[in-house]
Amino acid sequence: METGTIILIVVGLYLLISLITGILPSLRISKSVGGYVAGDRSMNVFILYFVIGASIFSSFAFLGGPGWAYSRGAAAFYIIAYGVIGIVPLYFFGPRAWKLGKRYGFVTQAELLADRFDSKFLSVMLAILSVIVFIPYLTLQMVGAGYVLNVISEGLIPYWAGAGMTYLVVLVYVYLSGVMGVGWSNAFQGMFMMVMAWVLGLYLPHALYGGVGEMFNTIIDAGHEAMLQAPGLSADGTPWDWWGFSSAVIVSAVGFSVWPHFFMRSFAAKSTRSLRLSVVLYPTFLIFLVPILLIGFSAVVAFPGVEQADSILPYVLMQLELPAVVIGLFCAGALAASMSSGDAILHSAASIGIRDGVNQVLSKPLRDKTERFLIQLSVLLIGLIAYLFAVVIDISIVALLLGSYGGVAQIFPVIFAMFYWKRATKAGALAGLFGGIAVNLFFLWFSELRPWPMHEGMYGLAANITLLIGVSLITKPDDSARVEKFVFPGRRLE
Amino acid sequence: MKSDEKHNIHNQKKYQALHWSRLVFCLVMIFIAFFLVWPGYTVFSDATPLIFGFPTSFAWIIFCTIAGFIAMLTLYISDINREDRD
Repeated sequence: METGTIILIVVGLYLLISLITGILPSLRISKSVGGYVAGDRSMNVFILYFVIGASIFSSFAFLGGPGWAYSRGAAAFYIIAYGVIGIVPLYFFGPRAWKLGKRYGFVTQAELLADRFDSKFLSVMLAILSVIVFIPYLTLQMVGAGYVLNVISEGLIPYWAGAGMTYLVVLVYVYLSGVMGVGWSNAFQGMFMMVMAWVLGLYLPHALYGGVGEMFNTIIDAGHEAMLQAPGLSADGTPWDWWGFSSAVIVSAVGFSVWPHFFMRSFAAKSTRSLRLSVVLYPTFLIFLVPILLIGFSAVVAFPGVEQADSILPYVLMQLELPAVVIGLFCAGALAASMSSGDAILHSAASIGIRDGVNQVLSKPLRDKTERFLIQLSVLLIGLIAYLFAVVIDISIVALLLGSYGGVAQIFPVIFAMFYWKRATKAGALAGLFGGIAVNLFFLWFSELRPWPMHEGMYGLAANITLLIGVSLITKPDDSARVEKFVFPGRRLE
Repeated sequence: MKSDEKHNIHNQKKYQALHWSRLVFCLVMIFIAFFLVWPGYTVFSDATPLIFGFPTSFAWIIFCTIAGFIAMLTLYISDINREDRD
């Protein structure tokens, strides 16, 4: 059988299993919005572990991770560093959000904030911002899927067909099963991706150098010691500065737990205990980035001079004379990384857009059935828009996504204040959040005006916290009954 | 009345335990965070010596990940034990 045909069969089988595991949960969840968006609060530790882990490990991790290690060395360690500290707030926020969700029916992050700060405006603005960030994020996942299939099949599968075929599967199971479809397919994709990453991450250093230690020794002997020294290299190959590395770790860690699609998984948990345990187990998922980075390092001496660093994984695969089945499996592993993030983003963008956006501006709230139908319709619409962007890709989309990390971090202070600071007021929260986003955007566009070479998100956070505290203290305290229910979610208010 | 007092003392102890285990955990995490950025990370930022085959800078990040995991697991077990006791 021809190589191309074997690869197609393996990828086809993978997609079929993903489709089945994604569709099956639709038979069990209720036909309500709660069932579609929060899975009737029934996710156990097994599913939640993979949902939390896999929704973060995207095409960026599978393709960008090795790319960073290959071109920037130790700079790539920042991806692991921020995950270790970034997950911690969810251990504390998650159970509080879960309790409030169970009692008052919340299923999204913006619903919590809008209720605590008594502001529909906040909800609508967060919905608009989330959709604006999620569409390019989804586009990039599609680009990753189309790109991998195209390169590895040596052009046999056109780029548009690869992205289209993969995301048609995602669209079907997200449309039918909502978050539980995302959960079950992520469990399958997560396990698959982990096995592939470890096999390849350990195989390549052994095949090319005789071991991991030998590989790093060869890199040092070849004169690349500087790239292994933290904080590694910047994009142009010169040593990266500590300002850049440290601020990137801090901003990414601060924003990590409050990404709306990530945070809202708290509502899907079966209990606070299963949520906490899933968060605690997260670093075991993080360790999976180690073999991913080893893939990149293995190419430094063996395959120097690859211009497009992000293509290093498919490039290395094509250089080694591996059996077609193995190439097909790695191809499917890369698709799993893309799909496990793409499905979560697609589902969240549609849920947030309708529930926190459209539903809030209508004079009469939507009926449950209508709302669920509109969310499902939005899944199709958002999927289509992202696909259109993907086939007519423009570089500004990547810039938009990179810029969004600093913006998302601005949600953290208001979430913290919602749960822990009784004196935070509506005016303070709005001033902090939008002031922070404005400062972040200002330094993103006018980076030469930054006083120190730090991530723009740091300036945004400084402005955000100052405004949140300052404006809250000079304005009248919010209604104490409403505040208490957020600060003490364990206490029943009659 | 006496049982109310007992209940209050019990609750007070419960919240103190909550306070301390979580405070210690937060301090440990701040300590780990300090060693993942400047200036803490500079102590372990070199490429050599290789530790278990990994450059020092890489081995340190792996060590911090494991340390963070152990800290979270300890907090989780202490939280669960307390909840079960109550």
